[in-house]
Amino acid sequence: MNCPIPHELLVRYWARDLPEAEVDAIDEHLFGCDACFEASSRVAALARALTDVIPPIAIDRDLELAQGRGLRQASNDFLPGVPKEAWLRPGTDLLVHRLRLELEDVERVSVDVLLPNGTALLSFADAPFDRSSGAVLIACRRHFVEQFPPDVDFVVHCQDRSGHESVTKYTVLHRVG
Amino acid sequence: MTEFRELVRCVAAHDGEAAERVAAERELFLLLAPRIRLYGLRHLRSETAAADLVQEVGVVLLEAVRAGRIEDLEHIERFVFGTCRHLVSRSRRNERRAQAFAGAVLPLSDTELPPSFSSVDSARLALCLGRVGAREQRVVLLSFQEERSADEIASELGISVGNVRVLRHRAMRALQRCVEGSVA
Repeated sequence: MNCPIPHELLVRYWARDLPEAEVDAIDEHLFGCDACFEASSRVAALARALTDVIPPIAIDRDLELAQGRGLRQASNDFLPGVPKEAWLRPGTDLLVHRLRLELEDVERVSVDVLLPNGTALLSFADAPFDRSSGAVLIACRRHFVEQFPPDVDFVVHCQDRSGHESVTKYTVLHRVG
Repeated sequence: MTEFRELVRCVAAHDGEAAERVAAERELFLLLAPRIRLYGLRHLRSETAAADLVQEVGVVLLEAVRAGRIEDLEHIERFVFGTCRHLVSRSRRNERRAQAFAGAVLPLSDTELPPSFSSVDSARLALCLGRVGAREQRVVLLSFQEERSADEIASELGISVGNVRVLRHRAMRALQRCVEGSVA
């Protein structure tokens, strides 16, 4: 066993993507090597945390999996340029903002989250989307609603196959009650 | 591993409930418990089962140390690894768990063990996940959330298995830096 074990190999180990003989060799090495044990523990912690994370920009499959884990969701449609409230009610774990737009010919989506005065809060340069859904889905967990200012703009940049970029803005007014 | 060996020798050298022996057993267990738990987590896929494994292996180890049955003290970790493998294999066969030897008292309770592996801030991780590329994100979610094999992911995304591994490794590296760093 090469020491330190390469990070890539530890990722494969925790992704269960290695032959048994290699798993066995790594197992034994981890009992005797402090540095590799520490590195493996960090990969393990991340792998475990990933089992129930919801990406902030999701696709329907992510939301279905979250629902399967018992997360209660409230979904709202948003149209460009039409500010609308999204209420986080007691018992709701996740607000889903469906930012409606045509995605048929889109190759790449990026999303900026801004305050009403234009101050940038967050930026997602290469966001997942499902062309057939007709919406970019923002998965807003309760802690995000409580952590960030209530009124925000989601600015969606779509690049189509010819390289043309379109920009649409959605205003979401988060409310808790 | 020198520390392991010295502690084992200390345990074996003292009789009964001598303070030195109790302290050495406690320290030995503190050093080994995280490794046993990590092994259990990897092979039993459950925090609870991993915690049970820690207790079981701890009992077997202390029994062996007290009885002077560990022949190769220079490689005490091999004994622990072998015990882990044996107990996990038995667990997989759904056999009943062995009873602890009479009078065994583990030197630590669960609450005294080092923190377990669920220490990543999930809110931070979500934001970090949003910052890796869409394809990398899908690969790590398919790998760790849906437990898909590299072959299955490759087939679903229309890429090679090698590409899946590269994307997954790249994403995990980026996520690790992001969740452990100061910038979300």
